[in-house]
Amino acid sequence: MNRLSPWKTVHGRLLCLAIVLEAFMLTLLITNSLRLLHNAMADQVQEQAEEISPVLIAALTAPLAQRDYATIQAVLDESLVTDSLEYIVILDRYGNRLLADEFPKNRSLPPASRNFSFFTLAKDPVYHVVTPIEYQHQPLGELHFGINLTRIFHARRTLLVQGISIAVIEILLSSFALLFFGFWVVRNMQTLTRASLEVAAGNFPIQPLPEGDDDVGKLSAAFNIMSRAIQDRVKELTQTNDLLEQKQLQLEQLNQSLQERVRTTVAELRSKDQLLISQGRQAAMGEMIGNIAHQWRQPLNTLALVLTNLHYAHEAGELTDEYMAEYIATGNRLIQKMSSTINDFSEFFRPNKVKMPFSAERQIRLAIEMVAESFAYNHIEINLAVEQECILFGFPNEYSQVLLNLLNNAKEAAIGAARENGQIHITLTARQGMGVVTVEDNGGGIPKDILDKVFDPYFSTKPMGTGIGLYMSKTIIESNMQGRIEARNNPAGSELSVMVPLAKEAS
Amino acid sequence: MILTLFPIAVFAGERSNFVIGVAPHSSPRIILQMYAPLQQYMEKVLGMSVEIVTAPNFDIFANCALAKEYDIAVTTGHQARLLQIDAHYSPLLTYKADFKSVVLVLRGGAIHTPQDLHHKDVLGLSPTSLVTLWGQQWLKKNNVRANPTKYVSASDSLAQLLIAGEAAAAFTSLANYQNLDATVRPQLQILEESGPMVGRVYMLQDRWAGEQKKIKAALWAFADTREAQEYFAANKLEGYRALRPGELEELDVYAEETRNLLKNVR
Repeated sequence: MNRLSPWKTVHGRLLCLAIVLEAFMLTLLITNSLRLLHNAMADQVQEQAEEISPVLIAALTAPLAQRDYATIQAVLDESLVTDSLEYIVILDRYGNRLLADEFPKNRSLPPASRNFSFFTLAKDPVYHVVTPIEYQHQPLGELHFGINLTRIFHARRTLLVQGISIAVIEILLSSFALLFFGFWVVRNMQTLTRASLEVAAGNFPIQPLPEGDDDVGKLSAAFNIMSRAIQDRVKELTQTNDLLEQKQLQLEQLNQSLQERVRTTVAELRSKDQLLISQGRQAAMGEMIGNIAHQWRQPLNTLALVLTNLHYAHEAGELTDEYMAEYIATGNRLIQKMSSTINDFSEFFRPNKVKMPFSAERQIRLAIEMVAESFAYNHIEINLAVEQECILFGFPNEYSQVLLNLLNNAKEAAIGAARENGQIHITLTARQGMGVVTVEDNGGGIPKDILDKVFDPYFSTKPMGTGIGLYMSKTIIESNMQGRIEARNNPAGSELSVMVPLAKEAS
Repeated sequence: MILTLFPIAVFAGERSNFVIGVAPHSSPRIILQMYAPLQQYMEKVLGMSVEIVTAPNFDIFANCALAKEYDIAVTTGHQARLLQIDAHYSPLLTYKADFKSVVLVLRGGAIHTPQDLHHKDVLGLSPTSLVTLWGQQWLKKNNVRANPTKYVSASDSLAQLLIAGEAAAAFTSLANYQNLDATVRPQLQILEESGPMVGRVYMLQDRWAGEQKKIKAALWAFADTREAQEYFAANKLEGYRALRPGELEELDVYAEETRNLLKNVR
C-alpha cells in the first residue's frame, strides 16, 4: 500500500481546514477590531470636534464682536499649547484671515473632513473642522481647525501589528497541537486500512483488530464484526455460485439437446415440404397428362381412321398418288394439332417471373380450354358469365392454375355426386377493388365439419387426393398475389371465390 | 415704502458693509442680542451687509470711533459729544428713557453711606465711561477717598465681582442694573442714583452726511416695527426721541475729561 501524502489523510485535511478556518476567523477578528476602532476613532474625533468647536466659538464670539484681536490671538495661542490641535485659523465675516497663525499662508485651507476615511486620513492624520461663528444670526467669522490624529493612528498601527503577531503565533501553536492530536486520534487507522484491503481481496480469515473504548477502538470492533459477517456471506455466496454453475451446465446441455431436436424437426418438415411439392408436381403432371389424353383422343381416332382408309384403299387398289398425298396431309395436320396441344399445356404450366397486369377473362378461358375435353367426356357443362371485365395484377399463369385446381375439384365433386348433368358456373365480376371469380358446382357441397379445413395442407376427402391443391391455391392467391380465397356452400353444391386486386388498385 | 427711500445702490460706496459700533455698556453677547433686530432691519433697508461691533472697553471704543471705524456709533452722551466735536459725527436720535448712573452695593452688606467706601475698592466700566466719570465725581462730591477705581469690561461682570466681594461698590447705569439676571439683581442694591441724563445717542459718521436724512428716516421707520417695539420694551428704552437742543452740550465736562483720559491711553 502506497503511503498517502499528508493532504490526502483525514487528519491532514482536518488540520488544513482548521488552520484555514482559524486564519479566516482571526482575519475577521482583526478586521472587525480595526473597524470598531475606526468607528470609535471616528466617533471620538467627531465628539472632540463637537466639544472643541463650541468652546472656541464661545471664546471667540466676544472678541470678534469687539474686534479684540489681542484676545483672539490669546485664545489661539492657548488652544494650540497641547498637541491635540494641529492648527487654528480664524476668518472674519468677509473671509479674511485674522492674525498670524501656524497654518502656511501659501496653502489653501482644507475643507471639512466630512467622511472619516480610514485610509486617506492615514496619509494626512488631521481631522479638519470648519464651522461658522455667528451669534443671533449675525455672522462674525469662520473657524477652521485641525485635530491631530497622530496618536490615534499610532494606536491603530500598534493594534494591527500586535493583532497580526498574536494571530500568527496562535496559528502556529494550534497547528502543532492539532498535528499531534490528529496523529494520536488516527493511530490505528493504518491497521484498519490494511485489514480493509485484505477483506477487499478476500483473504480470509482476517486477524481481528485491537478494540477499545474510544471512537477508533469502536470502529475497529465494528470492523471485526463486519469482516466476520462478510466472511460468512462470501462462503455462502461461493456455495451458491457452485450450485448455480452446475445448474447452468445442465441447462446448457438441455439447450443443446433442444436445438438438436428443433433442427431434426425442421429438417423433417422441409423433407415433407419437398415431398409435398413433388407430390403436387406429380399431381399436376397427372392432371396435365389426363387433359392431354382427352385432347388427343379425337385426333388420334381421326388418325386411326386415316390409316384404316389408307389400308382399305391399298387393298382395293385405289391408293393413288393423289389419294396418298391427301391422307398424308390430313395425318400431318392431326399430328401438328397434337404437338400444339403439348406446347399449350407446357406454356400454361410455366410459372411467371414477375407480376404484371393481365385479363382475368382470358386466363379463365385458357383454364376452361385446358379442361374442356375432359369435362365434355364426363358430361359436365361449364358456363362462364362475365359481368365485368377485370384487369388484375399478379402472375397470370399461377392465377390460371388456381382456377384449374378449382375446376378440377368441381369436376371431382360432380363426378363424386354421380350427377348425370354436372353443372359448373363461373362468374367474373369486380367488387371493392378486387376482381372476383366464383366457381360454383352442383356436387352437393362440402360437409360443414370440414369446411374450415379444406385449405389445410394434406387435407383431402378424395381417396386418391393429395390434399395439396387448395393449400397451394391459397398460398398462391394470398401470399403471392395479396388476394383472398374463400369456400362456402350453396344449396346445390360448393362455391369457391378467388379475389385478386385490380391492376389500377394494385398500382 | 422703506425700500423706495433707500434703493440698494444708494450706499454702494467704498465698503460693501455698514458698521454699527455699540459702546460696550454690556457684554458683547448681550449687545449682539440687543441689536440683532436693528442689524437685520438695516441690512434689508440698506441692501448691504450690516455689522454690529463693540469694543473691549469704552476707551478703545472711543478711539475706534474717533478713527471713524464705525458708520454709526451708539454711545453714551459724553462720548457722543466728543465724537461730534472731534470727529464730526452728527447726532441722529436717542432713547426716550433717561439715562441714570447708579452706585451699586451688596444688599445687606457693610456699605450703607458714601463714607463707608473710604479706602474701599470700587469698580467702574472703563475710565472714560459716563457711569465711571459720574461715580468718580460723586465720590469727590462726597469727599470719599476710595482706592483707585478698578475697571471691568461689562456691567454683568461687574455685578458678579461685587457679589464675590472683590469690591465694595460699583458704578453702572440704571438700565444695566435692571437688565441684570433675575438671580443676580436681588443680591444688589442701589446706594446712589444720578439725575436723568441723555441716554445712548446714535451718531452718524460724516462720510454719510449726504444720506443723514434717509438714514434717520430708516431708524424712525425701524422704531415702528414689531421687532423694535419688543426691543424697546425688553430693554426699557421706551423708543426713540430726537435730541433736545443743548442736550449734548451739557455733557461737555465729561467729554473734556474723556478727551484727556484718551490722550493718556494713547
